Order: sequence, then C-alpha cells, then structure tokens
Amino acid sequence: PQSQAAEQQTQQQDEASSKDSAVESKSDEGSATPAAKASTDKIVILLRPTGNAPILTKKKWVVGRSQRVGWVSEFVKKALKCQPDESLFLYVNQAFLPAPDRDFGGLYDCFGADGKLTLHYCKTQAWG
Amino acid sequence: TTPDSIQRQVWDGKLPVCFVLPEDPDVPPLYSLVPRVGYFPALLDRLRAHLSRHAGIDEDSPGAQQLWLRSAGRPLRWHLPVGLLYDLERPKPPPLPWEVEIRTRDFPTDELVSFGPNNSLESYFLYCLKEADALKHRARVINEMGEREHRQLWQGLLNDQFDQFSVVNRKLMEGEAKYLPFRIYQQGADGGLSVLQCLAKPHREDSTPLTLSDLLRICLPNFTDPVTLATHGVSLPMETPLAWAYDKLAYPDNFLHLVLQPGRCNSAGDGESSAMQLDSSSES
Repeated sequence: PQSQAAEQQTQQQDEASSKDSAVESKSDEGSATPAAKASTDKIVILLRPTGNAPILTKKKWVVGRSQRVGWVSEFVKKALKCQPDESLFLYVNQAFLPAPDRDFGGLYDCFGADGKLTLHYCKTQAWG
Repeated sequence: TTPDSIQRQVWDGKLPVCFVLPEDPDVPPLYSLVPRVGYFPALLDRLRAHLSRHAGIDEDSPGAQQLWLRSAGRPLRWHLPVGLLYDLERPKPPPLPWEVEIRTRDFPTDELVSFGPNNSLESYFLYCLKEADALKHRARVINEMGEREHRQLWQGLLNDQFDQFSVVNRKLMEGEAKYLPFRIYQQGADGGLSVLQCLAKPHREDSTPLTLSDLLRICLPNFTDPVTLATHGVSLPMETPLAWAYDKLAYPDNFLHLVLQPGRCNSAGDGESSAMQLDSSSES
C-alpha cells in the first residue's frame, strides 16, 4: 500500500509538473528566451529492469534536473534491497552507463523526451 | 602540415606529474609524464608498485586497493581525462610538475567512481564512445564495430599508440554528425563541479557553422558575462566553429571537453600548460 501511495503521489507530481511547464511555455511564447525544455525543473524517470534484474514496485520516479545519477542509483539499490557489495547499473538508451556524477538535466536534454527519461537497470553489466 | 597534425599534437600533449604520499614524507615522490588524453586510474598499478617498494604498503592491502588521488585539497575525478582535470584548476593552474597526493584512506565514495574488476576503466571509456556515437550517428557506427575494434581503441590509448587508435577512431569521427558531443565544465568555488551538456547541431538554421558563442547561448541562455572556453590548455576564440573544434580537439572518448571560466579570452598566448600551438589556418 505504501508503494501504491508513492506511485499516486508521483503521478500527481507528474501532472502538476506538466501543468506547470504548459503554463511556463505559454508565457514564453513570442520571446526568444529559455527553451521550454529548460524550464521544466523536474524530470520523470522510468525504470525498466533488464537481464535478470528484480522488478521494482515503483517504476516512476521524479527527480530534479540537478540530481545526480549516483544518488538515484543508491536509492534504487535500497529499493531493490541490494547487498552493500552488489553493483547496480543504470543504462541510458539501452547502450551506455552515465558516470555517477552526471546530473539528470543534461541526460534528459540529450536523451529524454516529453518530460521523461527511460533508464534500464540491472545488477550485472548488460550492454558493453 | 598533414590534416592529422592537430589531432596528433593533442594526442602527444603530456603533463609532468609528481605523485607524493603526504602520510609518509620518507617515501620518495614518483615523477611521471602523463598523457593529457589519458586517465589517472591507468597508472594505479605503477602507483601501487611504488607504494609497495617504498612505503611497505602491500599491493593487495586495503589501502593500496582503495587508493585515490587529490589535488589542491579536492579528490581528482579520475574518470575524466588527465588534461581536463588540469584545465579545471584554471585560472590558477598548479605549478608544474603538478603535485598530486596519493591517499590510502577515506575513499570519497560520494565523489569518485571506484574502478575495479566489476567496473573497469576500459568499459567506462567504451560507454563514453557509445554515448558520443548515439549523439552523432544514433550509435550506428559503434554498434557496427566488433569487439576487436573496441579493444584496439582502448589498447591504442592505454599504450600511447596513436596510429593504432586513430585507424579505428577515424570511422567514429567520419560522416555527418547529427549532434556534436561536447561538455562544458565549470568548477565552483565550493569544489563542486557543474557539467553542461545539451544537443548542438554542427550548423545553424541558415546552414552556416555553429560557433562556440552560439553554443554558449544554447547552453546558458541567461548568461551574459564574458567567459572563456578552454581545452588542452588553450583558450579558444568564441568564433571558432563547433564542428572544427570537435573534429580537431575532441578527446579520445569522442567528446569535446570545454572548461568555462569567467573573463574574456586573450587569445594569443595563454597556453601556459601546453606547448601546443593551435592554428586553424595551417590546415591543408
């Protein structure tokens, strides 16, 4: 039930943030300044298991643009109840592992769309 | 001048580094000429051998296995190329040889990537290439390569073999790029590092070349202060076409790594840390 609540909350945030960005992009109309993308300060990340990774109950996470990959990776490790010595790999584009100090803003601008960025996770290296 | 000469000079750039062990002043420093385009973790075996010989720290001991590097009180983010790390110390670059501290305790897990058998520097390097090719060619070129060619890129870099590296790398650098892979770094006063990366096409909408000042406008639309972008120890004129800079000055990981610092570029001679002279007109 707790995770369901979290999911709901995420969806609410999701709606709220998309509402916000719609308002912002409207007010930006006609001016040459910030791109609509840059004005959304929250990003929804969708986590999909790959290989033999266990399934997460909470698949949708909302993160700030300045949030680091390493921080989310630790969070997911806790959610999956990983042992301290176990690794977790978060892939972008089903192709590469971003360094833990990368922020989601830059990753989203290059590899995300519609406020969402999909990440594939696994406990052993899946691609590469 | 051959078309490759700038890439060759970039490849040959070296930094004299002096590795010291502050916790034991009796241990002699280790001097090394380190390729700017290389990575510090590639030297870990040599550093461990040095500590084992002079400090009695066994190569398999936790201290030697967990060692990390520090400069000016900050952990060196060693998943970034050596030359970029030195350029991040601008505008006051440390005197050469660059004194780098070896630490055997308190590995800063939050800030540093821990390289090991499960997570090698080689695979990290390959992921950089994959990300770059995803931006340039929707990952088509890197995916068409075999594992042998991937290894050749890494071995060429590790063993300082330019020809071995560039014969494969040329395939990645050729062809029309959809977006040019770059990152702009800004070292904060608090030691934090901010990294900017966004989509940048080689050309403007009117199909004239996109320049570095266009790039800044895209990445930092609200930024009006005069700034300088530098790479390989050289400040670049703002009118430099991004595609030219990328083609000539990208690191082996296929990213153009630019360091942002306040102040206008005094273009002529601030190559304080690099013997390299860049001249776009020398291109044939």
